[in-house]
Amino acid sequence: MSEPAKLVIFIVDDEETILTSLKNVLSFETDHEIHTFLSPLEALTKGEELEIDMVISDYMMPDMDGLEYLLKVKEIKPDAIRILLTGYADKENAIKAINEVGIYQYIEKPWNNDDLLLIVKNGLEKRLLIRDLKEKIDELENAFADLRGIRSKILKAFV
Amino acid sequence: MEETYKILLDRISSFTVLVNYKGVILHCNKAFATFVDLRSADEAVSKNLTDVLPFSTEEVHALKDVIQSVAVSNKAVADAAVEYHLHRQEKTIQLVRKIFPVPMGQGGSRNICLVFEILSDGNPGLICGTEESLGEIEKKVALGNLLRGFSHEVKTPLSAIFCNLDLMARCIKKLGGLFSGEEEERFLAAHKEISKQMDILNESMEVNQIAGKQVMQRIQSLKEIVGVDEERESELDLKEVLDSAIVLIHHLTRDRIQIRLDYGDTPNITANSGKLSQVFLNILINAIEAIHEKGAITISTGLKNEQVFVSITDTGEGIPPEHLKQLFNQGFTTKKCGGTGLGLFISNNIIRERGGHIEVESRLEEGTTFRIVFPAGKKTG
Repeated sequence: MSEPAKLVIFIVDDEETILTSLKNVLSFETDHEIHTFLSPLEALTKGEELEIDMVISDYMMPDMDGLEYLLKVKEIKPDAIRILLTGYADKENAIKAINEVGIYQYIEKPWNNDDLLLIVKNGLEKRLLIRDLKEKIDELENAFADLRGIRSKILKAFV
Repeated sequence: MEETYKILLDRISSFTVLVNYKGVILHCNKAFATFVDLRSADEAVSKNLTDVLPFSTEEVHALKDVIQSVAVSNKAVADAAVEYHLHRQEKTIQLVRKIFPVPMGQGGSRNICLVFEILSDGNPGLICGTEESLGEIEKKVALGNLLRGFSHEVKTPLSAIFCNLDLMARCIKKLGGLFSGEEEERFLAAHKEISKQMDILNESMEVNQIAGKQVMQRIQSLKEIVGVDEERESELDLKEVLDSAIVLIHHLTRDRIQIRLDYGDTPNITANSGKLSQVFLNILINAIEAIHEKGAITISTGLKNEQVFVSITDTGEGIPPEHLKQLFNQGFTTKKCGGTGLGLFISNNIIRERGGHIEVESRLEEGTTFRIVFPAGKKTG
């Protein structure tokens, strides 16, 4: 695996208390770069200029709900790991999210910090593995293209 | 399940009775049993409706015909008011009747449900569901709705508190580990680390203080509403009563509806805080429901001509002129689900009890203003 560089995590929640709490836990236990947003629209604007590795979003928000936002993230940054934070103990929305939006995990409020950290750690590992895999595939494809070039050169030399 | 329906039925103040197509009573509620002079609803079961009704013979026969026509046509009948003579008391009452088929009899036969409401009779002893008990039901419905939203509202700050408490414990543990070294270099590194941890600790404490206050504030509002049962009156600051009502509706307004406050100077008034909150909540919830997308609710208070007023203006859909007159009538509702038609009826009575009144002004597509006016100073008597 490549050197674990600083990864970028976005947290979106309209409640400032939740936002600050999540940020502090993650910055206390990890070295990642954490960005917090009170509105999904703000997060989308900032997301244009950054490579994002993980997005943790609340479900109930005034401007745009968490599912809608995560769906947009999926379009723009398909490789970012998406996590939904839900205040209602409503499994229905969470299942809908996993099926339709394709999220990595959902976290119910109130959460347990150990669980949260484990989900974040595993999610980021998955992100890195996929990134490595893509790089390896690219390398293989390049090597294959090189080989094909060499083969045609060899063939030409003989014919 | 059946037990629940029975309780529900007994809560209804209208006389409600279910008969089969022959007119034999299958079920009835307490109100009906009392009306026909029976000790309990069970006692009425399997008696013939025509034998228990205290009406004149012709009236009973006419009613029997109506029941049969409903059974045959499978169509409900409802009429304004029909006069009935109570032979035992030698007096006349006016009843509003609703008779409708209920397809649940055995072998596909239809049962018929009859609901009677007394329009006027001048003998309050006859009406079993008095206004007080209706108020109880309305209060429970409102409380149930509020509690559901409330539990969600409390969960957010509590989540933050739990998270931060755990984080503080982690910080403290880490700080403890830092003091185990002796060398100066390690101490300097520790110093840097300590100040970083202290920042986090401080912020966590601050967040917890805010979140804790939020929980307390919300619980306080709830307590005031639950205090509805208390008949006790006290000196109230209108602004405080309004503020706690606003806290309780926060989960319904959030960022969708802006709450604008324009509190003028008002003297304290003597009233029951629970009842007064109930009035404000009823009107505020109606205002919220009138606003479909985004909008605003303006709440203003003031003193005019020695009268205290609270006006609540929404930018909602407005009330059609034909509905305005019925607004305070018992049972009038336009809500598709969950409306009991009691909210404004009870609110109006609460304010009238206090010597005041409620005015309404509304324009379609523009909004509605409810103005609650009551005399300043202490309640007489």
